[in-house]
Amino acid sequence: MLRSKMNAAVLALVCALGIAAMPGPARAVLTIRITESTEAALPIAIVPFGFAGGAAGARAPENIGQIVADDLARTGRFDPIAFPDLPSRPSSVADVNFGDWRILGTANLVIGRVEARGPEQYAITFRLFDVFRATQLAGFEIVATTRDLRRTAHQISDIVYETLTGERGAFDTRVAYVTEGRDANGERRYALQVADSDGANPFPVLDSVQPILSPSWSPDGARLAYVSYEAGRPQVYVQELATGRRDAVAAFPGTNGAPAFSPDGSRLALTLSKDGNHEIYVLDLAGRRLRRITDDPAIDTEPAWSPDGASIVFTSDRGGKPQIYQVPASGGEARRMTFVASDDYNARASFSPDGRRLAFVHGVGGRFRIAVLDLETSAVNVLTDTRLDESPSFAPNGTMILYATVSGGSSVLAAVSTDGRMRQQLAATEGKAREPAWSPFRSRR
Amino acid sequence: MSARTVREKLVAGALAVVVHVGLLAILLVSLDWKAPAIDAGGEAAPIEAVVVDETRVAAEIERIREQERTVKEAERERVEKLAREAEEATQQRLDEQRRLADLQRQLAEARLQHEAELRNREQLEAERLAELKQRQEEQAAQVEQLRVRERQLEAERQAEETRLREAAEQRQREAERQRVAREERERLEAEQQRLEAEKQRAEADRARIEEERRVAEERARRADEERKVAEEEKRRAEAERQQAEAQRRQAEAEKQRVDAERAKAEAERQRAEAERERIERERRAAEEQKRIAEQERQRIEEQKRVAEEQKRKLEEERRVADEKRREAEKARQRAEDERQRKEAELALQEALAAEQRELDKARSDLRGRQLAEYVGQIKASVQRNWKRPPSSARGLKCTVLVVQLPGGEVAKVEVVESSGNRLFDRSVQEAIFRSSPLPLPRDPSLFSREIQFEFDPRD
Repeated sequence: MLRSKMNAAVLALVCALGIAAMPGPARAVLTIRITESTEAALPIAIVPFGFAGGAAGARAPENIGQIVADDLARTGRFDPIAFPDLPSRPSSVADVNFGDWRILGTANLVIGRVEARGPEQYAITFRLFDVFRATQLAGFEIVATTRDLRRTAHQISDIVYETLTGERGAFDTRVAYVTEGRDANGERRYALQVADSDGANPFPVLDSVQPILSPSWSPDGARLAYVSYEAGRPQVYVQELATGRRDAVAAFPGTNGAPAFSPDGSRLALTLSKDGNHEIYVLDLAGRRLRRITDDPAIDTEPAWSPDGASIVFTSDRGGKPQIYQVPASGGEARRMTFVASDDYNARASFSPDGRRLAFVHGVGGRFRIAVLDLETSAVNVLTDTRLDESPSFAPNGTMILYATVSGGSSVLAAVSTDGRMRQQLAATEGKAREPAWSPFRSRR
Repeated sequence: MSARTVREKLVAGALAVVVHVGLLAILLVSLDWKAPAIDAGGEAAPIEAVVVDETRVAAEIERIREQERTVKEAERERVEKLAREAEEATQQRLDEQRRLADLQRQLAEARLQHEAELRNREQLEAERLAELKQRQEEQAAQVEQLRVRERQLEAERQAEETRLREAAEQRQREAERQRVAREERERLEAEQQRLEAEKQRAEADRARIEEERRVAEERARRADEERKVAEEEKRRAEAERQQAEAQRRQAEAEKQRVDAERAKAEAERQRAEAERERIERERRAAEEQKRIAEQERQRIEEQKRVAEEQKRKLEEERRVADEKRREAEKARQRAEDERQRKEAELALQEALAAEQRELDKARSDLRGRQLAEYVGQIKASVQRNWKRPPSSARGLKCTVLVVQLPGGEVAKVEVVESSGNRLFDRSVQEAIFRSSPLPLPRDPSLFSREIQFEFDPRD
């Protein structure tokens, strides 16, 4: 950086001397100000990955190029070129002709190859190029089993995203949600599912004939807290994903609901009605000690921690209609946070990972949409235009919000970029999908 | 049953054989062990120790053979016994089977007989049931007849009762009617008597009321007369009172009139006195006025004299001032002439300078216009090619230094000042590369190998 600045200074000096020799007044280097532009996603060319090895005519088990293109498109920041419009399909450096891609005006090119190394074993290589400078920006080889191929694709997306934007990608993460459907006998069944961030590879970690609600990730992504009615009434459980071991951590009389892990993972904020009214409590998981946070005759529920762990936001109808309030995590005076002009209904808040924004459900005239409150400017931005949106949660890098909405008569999962420009449904699931929660970052492999 | 018994017996026999063979083996083995023990005392080489007593051996062998024979005999006897037993058992089994067959046949016969009996009994039962049913039906018919008869009797009894009840009721009603008629008659008579008495009492009342009314009227008439007399008296008294009042008012008015006349005379006297004083005051004022007027006349006389003196002085002064003004006007005229001459000189110089400037400007304007055109073309091209990332923060700025080849191809893009946002910086560099080759100027001397671009979006 310093060197480039010095170079610029030297250049400017040389220019100035050169121009000074000419007749007329002396000038500095010719400077042009650019003020007009079109706001558009960055074009990127992602070539379908080549396949080598295995039996003749065999194909790669997953279309990695497509998964990466879909991941990047979903952010609203990249505009991958459709496969049929690609001028060529190189899979190794030797096949790349940068001239082709320059004509296309695409600055970034991703190529890759999947190579069968044995049964269920693959080596995936990929490279990201700067087309105009004809340089490689990133290149890796990753070994994976068939089962891990999709995850590898998401990891490639993360590397491309981080190289080009400077921000960590959140593609190699998971989402937890609840599905509701009917089994072969027509019995209603609920399942707690964990899927990839694009909704693929759903895996039920709990199956029940009674409702399941409000999954919440532990900050290390190893456990889920949720509400289950399996005991005939709502109780809060914590389940370890690796072992399936689960514990009923809150089974007090009345409602046990809306658990939320503290940022250090040692406590749960939750809603209990054991003292006669729905109030927010904090449960210390090691000592099982309870601390009451709110005390109001209204209903207080849906707690969510600030990323610094210092405060909790929650929904309360103490002002007549549900609104969002903030209270110190040790209890104390609650402060109202939402003052939207229409003032109808604001609930189910969750913090952005940087703690500067709050996503929540904003209801006006029977339409419930996802909105974001900027805590510095108090500006509210409504991101969706559907009717029954619920349960927003930020991606761990803060660029997107996962939520559930109603489409085609069923409840589905969707994601919206935090500027509201890009909205997309996640891969379809069987039955109705509700109450999604985006996992924290996974440790890098 | 018999088959099983035979098998068990065969197994028992086989077991016995095994036991015997086993015993024999043990015997043999023990002999084997005992033989060397006999010569165990010698320390000589093992090969020399095989010296034995032939007779003992023969006797021993004989003994063993004897034993074997005994065992074999016993075994043979046992096997024969077993075979016998087996045969007996087979015989028994056959007997048993025959017995069973007989039994089954007997059973079958008995069953057939029993079934016949059952059928017979069922028939009898059916007949009995039919008879019973018939008897029941007959009984039912009899019961029905009895019931009908009963109903008839009941109906007759009820009819009789009704008739008797009606007759009794008729009688009762008649007696009642007579009693009511009698009572009515009595009641009417009593009423009539009561009405008569009532009438007489009313008559008496009317007479009494008439008398009372008459007395009251008389009393009212008298009262009226008395009232009239009283009113007459009151009117008279009022007239007298009014008369007295009028007299009193007249006296009062007279007194007031006398008082008024006295007051008027006094006022007249006071007015005359005041008039006299006023005339005296006016006379004194007139004298004073005359004196003041004299003084004023003297003062005006003096003022007139002073004013004439001043006028004379002023005229003298004006004459001197006019003289001075005429001289000043002459001086100003001279100065104005001088200034106009100088201005004309300056204007000439200015015109000459302007002409020079005009020439310079024309020369540089062409260059300026061509440079502006060059910059405008580059700017348009880059702006057309700049795709700014969406949702990038407001106020991002990025400055790059671009080195181009003589044909306008971009050779190098270097970020001089980053926006701090990698994606924004990339979009800027891409805009430059996408605009390559950059437009060229009309005047080649205007070509700039290096151009600095400041990307500073307006919104």
